[in-house]
Amino acid sequence: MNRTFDTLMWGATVLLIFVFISLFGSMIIELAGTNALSFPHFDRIWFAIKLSLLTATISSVVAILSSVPVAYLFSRQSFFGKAFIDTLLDLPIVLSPIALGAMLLIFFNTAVGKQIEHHFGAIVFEVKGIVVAQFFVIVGLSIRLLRTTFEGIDPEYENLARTLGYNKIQTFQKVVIPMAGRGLMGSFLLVWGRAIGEFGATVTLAGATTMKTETIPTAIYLSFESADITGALIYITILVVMSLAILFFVRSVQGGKL
Amino acid sequence: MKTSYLKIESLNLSLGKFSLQNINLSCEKGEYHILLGPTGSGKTSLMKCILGFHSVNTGTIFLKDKDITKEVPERRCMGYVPQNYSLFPHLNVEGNIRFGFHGKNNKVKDPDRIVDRLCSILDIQKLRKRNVHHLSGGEKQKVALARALAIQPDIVLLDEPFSSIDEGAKRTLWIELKTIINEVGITAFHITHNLEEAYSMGDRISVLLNGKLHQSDLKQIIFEQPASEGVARYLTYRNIFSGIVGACNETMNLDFGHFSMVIPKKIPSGQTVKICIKPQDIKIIKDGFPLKGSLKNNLFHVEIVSILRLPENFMIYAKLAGSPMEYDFEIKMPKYLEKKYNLFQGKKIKLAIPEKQIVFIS
Repeated sequence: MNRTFDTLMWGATVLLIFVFISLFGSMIIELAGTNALSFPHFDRIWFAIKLSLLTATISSVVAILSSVPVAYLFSRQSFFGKAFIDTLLDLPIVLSPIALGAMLLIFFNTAVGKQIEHHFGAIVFEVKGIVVAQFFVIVGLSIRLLRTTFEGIDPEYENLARTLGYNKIQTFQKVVIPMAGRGLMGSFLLVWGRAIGEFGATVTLAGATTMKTETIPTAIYLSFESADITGALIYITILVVMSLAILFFVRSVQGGKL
Repeated sequence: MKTSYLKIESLNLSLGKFSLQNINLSCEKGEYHILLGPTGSGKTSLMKCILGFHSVNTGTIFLKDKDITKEVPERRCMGYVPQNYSLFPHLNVEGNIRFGFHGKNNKVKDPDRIVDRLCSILDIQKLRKRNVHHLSGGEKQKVALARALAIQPDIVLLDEPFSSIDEGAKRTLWIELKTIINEVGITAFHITHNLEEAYSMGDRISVLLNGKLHQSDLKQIIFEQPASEGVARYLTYRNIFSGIVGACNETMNLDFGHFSMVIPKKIPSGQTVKICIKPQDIKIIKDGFPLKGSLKNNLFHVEIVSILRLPENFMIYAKLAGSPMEYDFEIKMPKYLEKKYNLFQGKKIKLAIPEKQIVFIS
């Protein structure tokens, strides 16, 4: 009976690994069959990489900075309506990115949205729109990850710092942030990775204009749309390599190797 | 007359279903005060009120005659040693000790001299640069104490400081900690559930049971004259009897219904009195053994109901003939006496209770 159970577990694991390897393998075989090095649009590739890195970094920094107080509050305080607000903040994690993008598009068509665009410049179908779309997709995940980090810190450390003469702000700076350092770094990398791969909300709010709002996922979509398989394969490879690098980095951070 | 250094007056605190009720407690300067009580009695909640982490519903807390009830924790000038020491993992030993010097509300003169002195008193000079993850339980306790004392607090509060120390090392550390506190000359408020720890370390003991302070007095008085049945039971005094006082031939008797006992105290007849006898104070009398004076008055013929064998001693549960109880007496004996007296379940023996060992519960 135990042997059957072990065989079942190992069988499922090997099968899943095989499916994943097949997926990557087929892509590499396909890429090897094309003449990728003679691809004429390297400026376009470079633009998509730069735009993806820039927008993902900005949206991730903003998401982490805005999530820190919310996540800390939720990890330490109990208040009326906490469960409801908590569910609301989790919504971007489960909501379809296209639906989120459509909601943003509708919002920026309202009087409030137009006022925001009036003060901060055009957002819809612009690079700023990419940042906004990425922010809303990743902020729920960011709050969830940081909350787990803060919940892992025993509040007794903060109490102790208070008895040693530290007020709440000093305690947060000198105790909570240093102790949450690894969790903050890991959370940032994960939301950054999620932002790099974001497509649905981005394409709905910022559109898919070549050499303007063309992030790597958008470039994959545009390449397939124009039957440019070589271009699509190059973009996919870049995205896979970047995602793998981020995941290895996150594991190193969480494992304390960095 | 001594003045109270830490004084708590009529403190009430509600925490959901649990509450601290009408706590009145005082701690004198230089005193080692123990707050004793079982898990869930509210010891930590009371300590958090003193530290300023719980806002009390009613009542006042004074430190050095100053009302600190509404004061924020960072301005109370209290050293705190938490249960698991909570040494900051991102700092080394010296970083932990010096942590309080950077607090906004601490103006410590000559911090280097303070750190040197504390490291010397606590014998942790060699550990100063060590990572806190690489310390033993006892070393962590010393570093946590040094960190608490470094800010030169008015009082140090210790929350079950031996809970994560190995059983074998505890007793040595009790002596060590008490010596250090005496050497520093600071007032200490220490919470524990351990009776031996309380008795060996405390000057005064306050007993907290189910959110109520039952007794606060010198340790000898607490152990010799428990103020309530609850305190007596917590102090493991199991032979608790409630009886009516009667006089007979110049002696005072307590009638418990199915048996009576001669008591050494003059109490008006008809009054209901509660007494207890420590299990170790009951004597087994061998047949033919001559009885001394007062032992003759309280001699009982009992049958052993059961024997519980423990590592250092054994407990005998004995019942009087015709008693409606499961057992009437719990007797604690040194291990070697079991064979000497040839004790076994069902054996009929004689017990004597010295009058002076009868403890009257107030």
